Amino acid sequence: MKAQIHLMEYVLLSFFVLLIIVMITLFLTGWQMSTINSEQTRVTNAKAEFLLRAFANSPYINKNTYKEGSMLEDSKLSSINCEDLQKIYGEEWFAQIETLEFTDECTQDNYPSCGKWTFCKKEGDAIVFELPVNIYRTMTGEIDIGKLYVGLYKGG
Amino acid sequence: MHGKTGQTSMMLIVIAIIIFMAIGVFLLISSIKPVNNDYYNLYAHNLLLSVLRRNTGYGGYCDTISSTISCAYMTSYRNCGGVECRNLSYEMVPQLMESVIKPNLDYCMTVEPENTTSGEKLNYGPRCDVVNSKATKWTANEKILQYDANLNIRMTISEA
Repeated sequence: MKAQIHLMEYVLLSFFVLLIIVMITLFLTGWQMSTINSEQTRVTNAKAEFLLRAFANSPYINKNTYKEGSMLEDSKLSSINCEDLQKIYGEEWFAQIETLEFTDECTQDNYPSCGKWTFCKKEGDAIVFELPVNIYRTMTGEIDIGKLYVGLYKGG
Repeated sequence: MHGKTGQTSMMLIVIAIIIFMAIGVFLLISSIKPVNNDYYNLYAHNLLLSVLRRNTGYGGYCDTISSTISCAYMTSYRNCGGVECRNLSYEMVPQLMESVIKPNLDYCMTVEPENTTSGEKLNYGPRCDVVNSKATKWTANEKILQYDANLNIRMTISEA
């Protein structure tokens, strides 16, 4: 009987030791995966932020006379397209500019009475950054205010 | 023999508790997201800059928000569209800010003269006291150049 009790104690001990080893292994694996995930998110965030800055200050869409940038010219926005910008910034991203007054997407027909420009299709899961910008109205010389959204697809 | 097994069991229980505590600390640390200061500094700067540059539609002394603020500080008696500059700036700045700023952010914009700290301050923002008392906040500065006195404009944003 005593021997059986001892045996049971050893079995229980071994079980606990195994349980602890399994838990440590799971914990370390989880830690590692979480570190990799957060690093991936950090890198994607940094890329998206870089793209946002590059976009807001791009000479291809900014008015030349504003050296501080973030003054997007509506005529330039209307004449450039996704393919042109993909040659500069690569793929796996989208950008959208919206003014507060006009919500219509700009086309050749409704320009300049429009206030929304979308570059490259918005699809899938993306990290999106938003930034207030000015929009220079070429026809009237007026300065409007709007929001620039730049999204980078996860894994992009 | 019994004593040794008891000690070993105790040790195992202590190790198990330590592991559970470590998991708890790990989950707590991983739930804390770092704040992206670079982005919020850029956001504050662009918010201030884009608001100041915007045309008001009134022309003259109040052609842009920047000139309206300048008029409100230096020559507040002047009128734009039948409204005193200062009143117009108190009406337009918050309206514009509310429509542009992200819904999770609060703002406070302060205008004061460059050369003296004793001059009058103009504050724009419904919750300036809350924003300025926050530990985590982001500030952007701009200057309006004037003939008599330059004006310093400070924009502070914080999470609501």
